[in-house]
Amino acid sequence: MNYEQKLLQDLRKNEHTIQILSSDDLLAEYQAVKGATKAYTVALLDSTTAIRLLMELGYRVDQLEVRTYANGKSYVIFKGYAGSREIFRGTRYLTSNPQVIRMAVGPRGIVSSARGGFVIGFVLSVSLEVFDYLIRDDATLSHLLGSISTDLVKIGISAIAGAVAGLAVGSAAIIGTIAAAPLIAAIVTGVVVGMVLDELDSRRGVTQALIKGYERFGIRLKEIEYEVNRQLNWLERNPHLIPCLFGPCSGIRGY
Amino acid sequence: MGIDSMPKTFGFWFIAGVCLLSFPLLYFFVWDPVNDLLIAMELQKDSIEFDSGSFYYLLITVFWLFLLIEIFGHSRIVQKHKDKLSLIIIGWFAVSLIISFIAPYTLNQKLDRAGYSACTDPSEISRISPGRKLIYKLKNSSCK
Repeated sequence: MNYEQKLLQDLRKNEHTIQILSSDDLLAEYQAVKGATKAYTVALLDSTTAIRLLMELGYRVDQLEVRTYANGKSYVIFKGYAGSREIFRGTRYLTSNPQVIRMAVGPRGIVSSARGGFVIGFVLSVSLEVFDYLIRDDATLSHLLGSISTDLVKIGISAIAGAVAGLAVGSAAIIGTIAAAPLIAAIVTGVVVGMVLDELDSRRGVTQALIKGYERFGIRLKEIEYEVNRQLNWLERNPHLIPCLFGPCSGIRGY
Repeated sequence: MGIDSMPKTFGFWFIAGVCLLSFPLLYFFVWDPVNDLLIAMELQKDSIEFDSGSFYYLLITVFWLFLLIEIFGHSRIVQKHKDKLSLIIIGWFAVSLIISFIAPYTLNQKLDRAGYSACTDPSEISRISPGRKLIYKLKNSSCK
C-alpha cells in the first residue's frame, strides 16, 4: 500500500456525515412534532387503557354492571369467569377502588381518567409552548401567554365533554356493560370537541385577540411603571414634598 | 343523583343526541370542505383552504354504532353475536381512525399532482386537535 492509498484509507475511516438543517426547517419540524404530541398523547394513553381493558375482560357485552345498593355504596360488578382475569380477580369492587379507577372503569374511573387527561394535556401543552418560546427568535411573552390560556380552556372543555360522554355511555343499558365503550366515547368526544373549539378559535381569532390583549396589558404596565418612576424621581428631587403624600399641604392641590 | 347512579335513559338519549348532532357536524366540517376543495382544485383556484384534521370528525360515527346496539341490543341477531360486539366497536373506531389518518395524505397527493403546495394558515396559532390548517397554493406562487 503506497502513501496515497493509506491516506485515502485513513480519510475514509474518519469520514462522518453531517446533515446541516436551517433553523427555519428545524423550527418547522418542531412545530409539526409539537402539534402531533399535543393532539395524540392523551388519546393514545386512553386508547392504551381501553386495549388493556379489552385484554382483561374480553370482547363480549355484559362484562360489567354498576349497581348502587341500599346502603348508598356503588359497586362495579364484573361478570364472567373471574379466573380468566388478571387484574380484577374478584367479582365486586367499590367504584372508588383504586384499581377500578386506574383502569377507568365505572363513573369515578371515567372522571378520574378525564382529570388525568386534562393534567397531562395541560402540562404537555405548557412545556411545549415554553420550549417553543425559548427557541424561537420572534416569540413574545404575550404570544406564549395567549397560546397557553386558550389551550387551557380548550383542553379543559374537551376533558369535561369527554367525561360527560363517558359517564352517559357508561350509564346506557347495553353499551354501558361493555367496559371499553365509555372510554372510547370519552376519547371520541374529547377529540371532536377539541376540533370544534380549534375551528371556532381559528374562525373567531380568540387566541389572536388574547395575544393582542396581553400585548396591550404589557404596554399599559410599562406606562404605569414609567409613571411611577417619574413620580418617584420627582419626589427624590423634592424631598420636602414627601409629607404631602400623607396629608394636605399648602400650595399643593389635587388631593 | 350522583355520578354513580345515572338513569339508563340518560345514556340512551345522550347517544341519540350525539348521533343527531353528528349529521350537521359531518356535513359542515367534512363533506362540505372536501367538496369545496375538489371543486376549487378542478377550477384551479389560486388558493384553497383546508384543515387536514377535519377527517377526525368521522370518529363520531362510533356513536351511530352505539345507538344501533342500544336500539337492537335485545334482538335475536345482536344477542347471537354479542360475544363480538366489543370487537366490532373497536374495529369501527380503528377503521375511522385509519381513514382520518390516511384521507388527508390522499388528498394532499391529489393536490400535489394538480400543482398545489401546502402552506400553513397564519390564522391558526395554537391547536390541541390532530391535523393542521393549510392553505394550498399553486406551486408558482409563494406562501407569503
